[in-house]
Order: sequence, then C-alpha cells, then structure tokens
Amino acid sequence: MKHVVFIFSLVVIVFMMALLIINHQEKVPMRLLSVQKYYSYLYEEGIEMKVSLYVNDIDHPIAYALSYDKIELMNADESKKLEMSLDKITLGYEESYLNETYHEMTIHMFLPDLGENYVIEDLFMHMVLLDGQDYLISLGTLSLMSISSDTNALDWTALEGHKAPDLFISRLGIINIEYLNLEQPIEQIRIGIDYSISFETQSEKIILTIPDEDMLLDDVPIVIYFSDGAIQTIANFKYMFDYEILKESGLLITTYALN
Amino acid sequence: MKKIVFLVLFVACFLGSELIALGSTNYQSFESITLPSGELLEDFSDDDYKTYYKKVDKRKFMGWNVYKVNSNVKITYVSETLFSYYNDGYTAIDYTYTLDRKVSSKLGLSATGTIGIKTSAEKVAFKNNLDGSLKLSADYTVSTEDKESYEISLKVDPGTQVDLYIYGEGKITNGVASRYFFWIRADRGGYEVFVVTTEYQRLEKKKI
Repeated sequence: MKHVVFIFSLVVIVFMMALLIINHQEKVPMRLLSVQKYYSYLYEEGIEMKVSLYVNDIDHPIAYALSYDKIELMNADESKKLEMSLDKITLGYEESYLNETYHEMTIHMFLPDLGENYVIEDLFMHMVLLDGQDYLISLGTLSLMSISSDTNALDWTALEGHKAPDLFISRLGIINIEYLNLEQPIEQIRIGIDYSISFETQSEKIILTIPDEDMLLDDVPIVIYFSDGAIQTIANFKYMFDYEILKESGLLITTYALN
Repeated sequence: MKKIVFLVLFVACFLGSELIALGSTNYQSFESITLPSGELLEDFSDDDYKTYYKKVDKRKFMGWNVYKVNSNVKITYVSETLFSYYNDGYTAIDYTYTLDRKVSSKLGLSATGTIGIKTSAEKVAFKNNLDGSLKLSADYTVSTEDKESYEISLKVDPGTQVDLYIYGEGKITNGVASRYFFWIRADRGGYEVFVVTTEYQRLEKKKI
C-alpha cells in the first residue's frame, strides 16, 4: 500500500511541476509590423487598395475581416480622412524576422471614386475591431489619381519592371514599356500624383527610371502626357512579389504590440 | 545461382541509379535557371559525384554526413506562362485573373540516389530529417498551409491576346549527403533546395 501511495504522490508531483513550468513559460508577445510603402492607384471601378501587414500570430482577430467594425485612412492630424470599405483579408507568405515567424496578411479595401486626384503624404490606417480594440498604423503615402485616358498614341506590347541593381528592398527601380507605335512625342510620365519620373526611349522600348527612396513600391499605374496635350493611362499592375520584405526593409518597419 | 546474380545486379542497378525526386515547386521544369557560378544538381556528372561522395563517406554511428557544393547561390530564372487570354470579339473585355496557390510553391526540393522527399498536404521535406542536418537559414522555411491569392485586372481590346509570364530571383543550396545507421550506410545521394526570393511579372499583348 505504501508503494502505491509513494508512486501516486510521485506522479502527482511530476504532473504539478510540469503544469507550473508550462504556466510560467514566457509567452511571446503578439506583434504587428508595417512597412513604409508608396501606394499609388489610378481609379477605376472596383479597384482595391491592398495593404500588407505582418503578424506573428494569425489567431489574433486583426487577421480576420469579420472582426472589423471600421477601417479608415487618414493623415497624422486627421485633416484628411477616407472611410474604407473592407472587402477581405488574405494570408500570404511566412517570413522569419528577428527570430520570430511572421505571416503576411493583406487587407483588401475598395477605393472610393473621389472624382479628383487625392494624396495623403503621411498615411495612417485606423482599424477599429468589434471588441473595441483599435490600432493606428503608419503606412507611408497614398496617391489616388482620377485621370481619364483620351488617346492611344502609344501602342504598347509588353510591360515589366524590376528593382534597381544592387537594391534589395522591395522597390521598383526600372519599368520597361515595349511598344509597336508611338505616334506623339512624350512630354512627361508619372506613376503617382506629383510623381514625375525620368524616361528614355530606345528601339521600341521606353525605360522608366524611378529614383531611390525609403519606401516600398511594387504596384503602380502609368500616366503618359504627350506633347499635344493628350493623356494615356496604363492601369495598375503589380510588377513584383517579394518574399524577403522584412529581411530587407530594416528601418522602414514599424512594430506595434497587439492586445 | 543465376537468380541470385540477377537479383544482386537488379538491386545494384536500382541503388546506383540517380533518379531525381522532386518536391513542391517543380523548378526543374522552368524555362531556364541561370547561376552566376556553380551548377545545378541535375548537372552533376558521375565524376562530380565520385569527388563529392568522398567528403561524406566517413562512417558514423548514426545520422547524416553532409557536403554542400553550392551554398545560397543567387540565381535568376524564367518560369512558366501564368496565363494567356484572348478576345476575339468586337468590344473590349474587362478580364480579372485570380491566382490561388499554396505558398509552398516558393520552395522546391530535389534529390538523387536514395535520398527521398516526403510530400504531405502540409509539408514538403527530405526524408529522415536531412533538412535538420543541412542547417538551412530561415529563408528556406515556409508554411505550406497558407494560400496566397492575388488578382490581375486587365482591359483586353478586341483582337488582342494577353500573356503573363513569371521570372525572378532565388537561391539554391545543393550538395551530397549520406546517412548512416549503426556505421552502415543507409542512404546516399544528392540534394538541392531552391527558394524564390523575388518574382517578377511580365505582361505582353499582341494582335491575333
């Protein structure tokens, strides 16, 4: 009988110790990361703005569209504010960053038709969840253009872009537009409001050079201004997908604690 | 006696063959992979194997001997045509292409000899925990559960075909390995791990 009591006591002690160890294990705090990015869109019906954030816990309500009460875009002093319509949240790739695993979550929001060009230079996203939590996340810059194309002077045949040589952050440095015909001289090319970029024309190819800046850039529209005053637009196109965004973004990353 | 000789020869042929096993991204079917230096596993010659195997043939009690021939070599590749769509009507069409794919597609494994790859619904890995012995950086780790989804919206003019191609950059680590079990060699072959770091899209349109 003594043996039974001894073994039983031993089992209980081991069990209690295991329980204590588990309870006292340090829990990894839940975090959300944002990376400064230039969001540029040319308005067309149904176009969505896609914001990628990174969470180390995909079970947090912030990763689920049904948890949201409200989502707004604004500047720091709230003099500019857009209430956004959330479409969905999708989960993307995983990346290791500072010894933790982060999941990319992309928030898809319908852009409103403002009928005019609109820019928010110090862009923040205010997310209000149904449980009362709210987060103000710094995103970068938003450019929403409302421009109509009135010519097809450039008969383009291919579109591609890539990073500048020796630049590792997820930022376009070059866009190539190949074409068959160019009926008018080009005066200016923009990829955002007040975002004029240099270009050169070489044997049926226009090479756009985007200056280096501390902001990610992977999805832009192209607006071409011709010498006769006509405008041609090329819709938003995502030129690249990066799988090492956090690893390469360094100081562009802002970390937020999740409740 | 003949049967025994035949059996021995058959087993020897089977063990000696350098069959390539593939997992996840079938990157070997890409149109092209360019390495600035080094070579892909599929380009290892018999002489290469002979040389490299010498590095992993020292017997051990248990586990893998690993020799890396190319470690984290940056590569560029041209992949497949993602989609091709044409409009043979008389009016422009708004076309939206939605691509859903498993994120694991950014990771590809291949192996030769008797090194195996196990592919399940949730994970792709080398058999017998070769991954652990390779001590690969975290860049080579991906979840295979998540799905990535993106949409491409285009206006396709009448009489026009649009094609979307993928090309990009990645990293490759390859070499040879042998596994021992009580000082007896259980597996030996080549391995290769490929991971995509950046994908670029090229959109082309042409008159049909």
